[in-house]
Order: sequence, then structure tokens, then C-alpha cells
Amino acid sequence: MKILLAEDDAKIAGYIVSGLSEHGHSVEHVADGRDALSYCLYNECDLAILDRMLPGMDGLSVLKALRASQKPLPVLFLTALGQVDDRVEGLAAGGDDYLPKPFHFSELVARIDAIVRRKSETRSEPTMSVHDLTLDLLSRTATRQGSVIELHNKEFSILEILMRNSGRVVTRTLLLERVWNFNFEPNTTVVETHVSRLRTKVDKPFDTRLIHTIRNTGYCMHGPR
Amino acid sequence: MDRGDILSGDAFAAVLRSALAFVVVLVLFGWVTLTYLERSLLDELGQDVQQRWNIIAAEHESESQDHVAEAIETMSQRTTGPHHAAALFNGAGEFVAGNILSRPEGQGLQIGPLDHAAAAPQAMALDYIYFTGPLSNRTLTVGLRLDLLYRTQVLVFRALTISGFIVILTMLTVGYFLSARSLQRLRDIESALSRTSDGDTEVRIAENGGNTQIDRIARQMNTHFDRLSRMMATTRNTAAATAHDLKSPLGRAYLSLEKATSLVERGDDPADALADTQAELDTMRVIFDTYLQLSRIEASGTERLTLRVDLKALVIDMVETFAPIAEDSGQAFSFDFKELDNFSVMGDGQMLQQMVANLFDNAVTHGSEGNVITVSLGHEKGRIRIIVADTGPGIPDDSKEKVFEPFQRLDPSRSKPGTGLGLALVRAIAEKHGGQVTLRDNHPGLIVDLSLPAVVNPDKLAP
Repeated sequence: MKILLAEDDAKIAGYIVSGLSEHGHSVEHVADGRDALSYCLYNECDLAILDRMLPGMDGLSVLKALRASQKPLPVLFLTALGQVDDRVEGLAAGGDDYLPKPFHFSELVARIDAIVRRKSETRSEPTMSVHDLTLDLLSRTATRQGSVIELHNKEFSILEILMRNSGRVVTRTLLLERVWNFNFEPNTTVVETHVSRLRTKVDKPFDTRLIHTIRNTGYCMHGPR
Repeated sequence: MDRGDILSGDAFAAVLRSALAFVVVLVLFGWVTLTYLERSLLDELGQDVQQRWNIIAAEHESESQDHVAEAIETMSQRTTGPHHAAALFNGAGEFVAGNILSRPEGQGLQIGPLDHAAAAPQAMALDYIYFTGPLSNRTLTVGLRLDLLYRTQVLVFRALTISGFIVILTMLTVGYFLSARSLQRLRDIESALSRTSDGDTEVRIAENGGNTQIDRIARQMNTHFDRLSRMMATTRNTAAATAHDLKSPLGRAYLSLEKATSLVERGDDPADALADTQAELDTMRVIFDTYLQLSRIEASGTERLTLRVDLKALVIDMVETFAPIAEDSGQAFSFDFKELDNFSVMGDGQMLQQMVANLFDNAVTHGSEGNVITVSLGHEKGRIRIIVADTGPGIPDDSKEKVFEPFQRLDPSRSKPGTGLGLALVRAIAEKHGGQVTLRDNHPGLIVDLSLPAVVNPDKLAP
């Protein structure tokens, strides 16, 4: 996938470029907002990662100019301005996601995956399945090996997100945002506790584990490999 | 103090304006008084002259003509001064008797100079009031010199001028001193401001108990200085505490990173040590984020608090979130509310969610096995009360206010997880929404009593 990175901090840019390249993406790096805009307008790429505060032209203005030119390029904001207002502003302007600095690299990769897939996804499927687990979004039931699993609201939401991203890492922060709408981190083990309860219901009675913990990062759902 | 500054002061300018107004009024008043005085004196003197003329005329009726001339002569000789004037002239206008040497023109009551025998040359300028009338074939003139009128006028004029002068002098003097005093007060304020801007938080403007505008401003500024120095003290404490709270995870991160390096050198797996480093850096990030959020909430206005937020749904959601965590550590969590009641408040849903989450988070974090957490939602006098009671370790009375301050933690070893900002955030959010939060003892444990203004007209709530 071809990604444009607009970031004026050379060190951070270096890490991101090498990290994303290792993940198989081809990354073009610019350090100036105007360069970012002209690159996006005159080159084909699949995703733009924009810093909010850029020399030349700030990231928000770049995005607004892109949207004004009807360019349907997915945009991920990467910024130190991480407060709720900033997020709302960034998303309202047409950004696809918003990742506050500092961040874990795995979080960035997970979000890039999510954005790109969201763009190509056909959302008509009312059921999803991973290995022998099936989730019916209409009747809000989970079935594994023919037996229905009773789930609480939060557990159902977590499972839905994990299954939608099956085979990919879902970070703790993403779960806090999507399941609880939390933009802060609680002191207690909110995510761990609820995932552990979900596991007790989804994985424990069966011989194959589907929910895997990715240390310090989050979770990944996949069948036996 | 510069005299120019005093003279350009407001107080002096005000006095100067009053003095000018006083002069104008005084001139008008003096003119009216002098005119009135002149008229009434002339009136009186005219009657007097006429009366004298009548007396002589009456004598002329009863006595012989020579007798009258004689009487006039006697009278004019007896009153040698130029004050009184009386004379008899024959039909041809020639002098017969008296002290007026030439016959004045005209008849009746007149005002003007008379050719008086005893008048000093400069006194000729003085006017007389006189009556001239025919007495059979002669003409009789009787007059009085107007020196009384002139003397009175001069006297009144002098009195008005002198008193006016004294009053204006007094006004200007008082104005000068008032201006000097207010200038001194302004200088005090000026120096207090400049010293405050230099960082001196102890400086105050001297109070003199007065109630002038400057005194009121001075008092207001002193109150402002008090608040400012309190805020600066809090900021300093907070900065120190922030540094302390950030240095601890930073120190631990250093150590675990060092450990990872030495593990790599030995050829061992550094994953655990690196994970520790990452966790410490995460702690720092959370502290930063929370602190930024706190200052944002404190600095923001109320313009975003425009949504109706159903506290019942919000609390239920948070109970669902935190009850499993409590249960996993052997704590009990219960929620009590009236099903049919409306618990809507105006505000920012995400802020309120964080407020409730922080309360529950606190109760769970500080409680240990056996802790019973009871949450209740109720109405009281137009306010919605959220009460979170636990049977945990509680907070001693002397610390109940302190825990709302940023980075104030009762546990100096920092053994429980947390940023030390949880309750500060709760209070900031509650106060932003017009609410209050107080802490009470639960014997044992803690009761957090939080009240928010309820939506006045819940009927308008969207279904």
C-alpha cells in the first residue's frame, strides 16, 4: 500500500517510515504541509498520515483542501493535540481517524489496517464468523459449535470488533474508544476484565482458543493456524 | 509628586469645573442682587424726596413766599454737606434760595447731576434723585444725593467678591489636596501592579477604610491579588507535584531500559524489561493527558455544555463496566434508583461519563476484598444527587479537601495505580456543570456526594 507521511519531526518520521516499510507498505515522507497537499493532489496513494502541526500549512488545512478538491483519500491524523475537541475537529473536517502522540507503533498499524479495510468493506454482512464461532449482528447472538453463548452488551461489542478485525491486532485503546467511548485511560483493568469474561464464555468451554493476547498492545482474534 | 500631575488629576479638574460654575452663578446672582437693591433703594429715596417736596409745598400754601424761601435757605445752610439739595427758582428760572445754583431741566422725579453749591468738584459726577415741581409762579427742586445707593452697591459688590474669592481659594486648595491624595492612591495601585507583575505575590494596596471609587477599586484589586497569589501557589505546588509524579515513572523507565540493555549484552531476552519500560512511559503519557484535560476543563467556558445527558443511562453503563472489575477482586457493587424518575442534566456527555467513571474507578481501586460499593441516584430540590458509598479505607477529615487538589495522594508510596488527578477532575467537571462534590465518612469508608442541577423542563427531552 502506498502511504504519504507528513511529519516534521525527522526522528519520528524515520521510525514510522522504517516500521511501515517493514509491514510491506511503501511510504513517501514530506515535512511540509504544502508539499503534502501537492503530493496528495498529483500522485496516487492509498492513505495520508498527517501531523496536525506542520510547517507551511497545518494538517487540518491540508485535509480541508483535499476534501474541497473531492479527493477521496483516507486521512489519519497523527498529532500531539490529543484532546477531545481536537479529535472532534479533525474528524468533523473529514479525517478518518485520529491518533494522539505519543502512540504505540502497533496502534498505528492497527488503525491503518482498520481505515483501509473500512474503505473497501461491504458492510451488508449481518453475520460474521471466525473458525467455528459465528456472530449474528441482527439477533445479537453468538454461536459456537452449535451452542448459543449468552453475552452482555459490552462483551458483545468487544467480540464484534475483534471479529471484524479478525487476524489483525485490536489495541486496548481502540477497544476503550469503540466499546466504552472513553477518551481517557481508567486506572482499573476495564478492558482486561471484560475481555477475560468474554474469554470465559467464548474460549474456555471449547478446545481451540480464538482470542489471543498481544502483550502490551491488545488482542487478536484468529482460528488455529 | 509632580505638581503638574496633581493639577491634571480628576479631583482637581472636578473642583476646577465646580469653581468655574460657582463664579458664573456668583456673577449672575450679584447682578440680580445689585439691580434689585438699586431699584428698591431708588424707589424708597424717590418717595422720601417727594415727601420733602410735599412738606415744603404745604408750607408754601399756608405761609408767605418769603417764608418758604427763608426756610429753604435755613435748611440748606444747616445741612451744609452736599447730601441734601433744595432750591427755589423764580419764574424765569433764576436762583432764589437754597443750595442748587442752577435750575435743572424738566419736571417731576428725575435722576441726574445737580449744580450743588457745596459739592466738591469730583463729587459732581455723583447723581442725585430730585423732584422738581411748580410752586405758584416759582419752581421748587428737592433732591437727595445717591451716595447711600453707591455705598451699598460697593459694599455688596465687595462682600460678594471677597466671599467668592475665599470660597474659590478654599475649593482649589481642597481640590489640590484631594487630587494629591487620589494621585498617591493611584501611585500605590500602580506600584502594586508593577510589583505583582514582577512576581511579588505579597504586595497589597493599603486600605484606608474609605468608600471612594479608588478605595473600592483598591479593595477589589486586593481581593484579586489574594486570589492570584492562591492560584500561583497552587500552580507552583502542582508544577512541583507534576515533576515529582512524572519523575518516578521516568526513573523506573530508565532502570528497566538499562536492564534491557544489559540483557541484550548478555545475549538474554530483553522483552520483559522492555515491556516494563513501555508500561512506565504509558503511565507518564496518561498523567500528561489527564493533566492537560484537567487544565482544559478548568479553562473552558460553558458553551459546550448544551446536550441533555441522561445520567441514569450513563450510570447504568458505568456500573456495567465497573461491577465486573469489583467482583473480580471480591468487592460488591450495587446501584439504586427509581425506575420512573428522569435524571437528565445539561452538559457534555463525555465529561460526565469520565466523572462517573473516575468515581467508580476510585472506589474500586482503593477498596480491597469485602468492600461494598453502593451507588444511588436521587432527586433533591431541583438537583440530581449521585452518591457513591464504599466501605473501604476512607479519607481522614483533615485530608478531605486536599484530595481534590491535583497530585494530592494520601498514599505516599503511590502503591495504588492512579494519576492523583482523579478527584480533581471529578470536581472540575462537576463545577463546570454547576454542581458540587463533597466527601463524608461512611464509618467505615467514604461517601462521595455529588449534586448537579437537573434539567428544568424534562418534558422537552427527545425520546
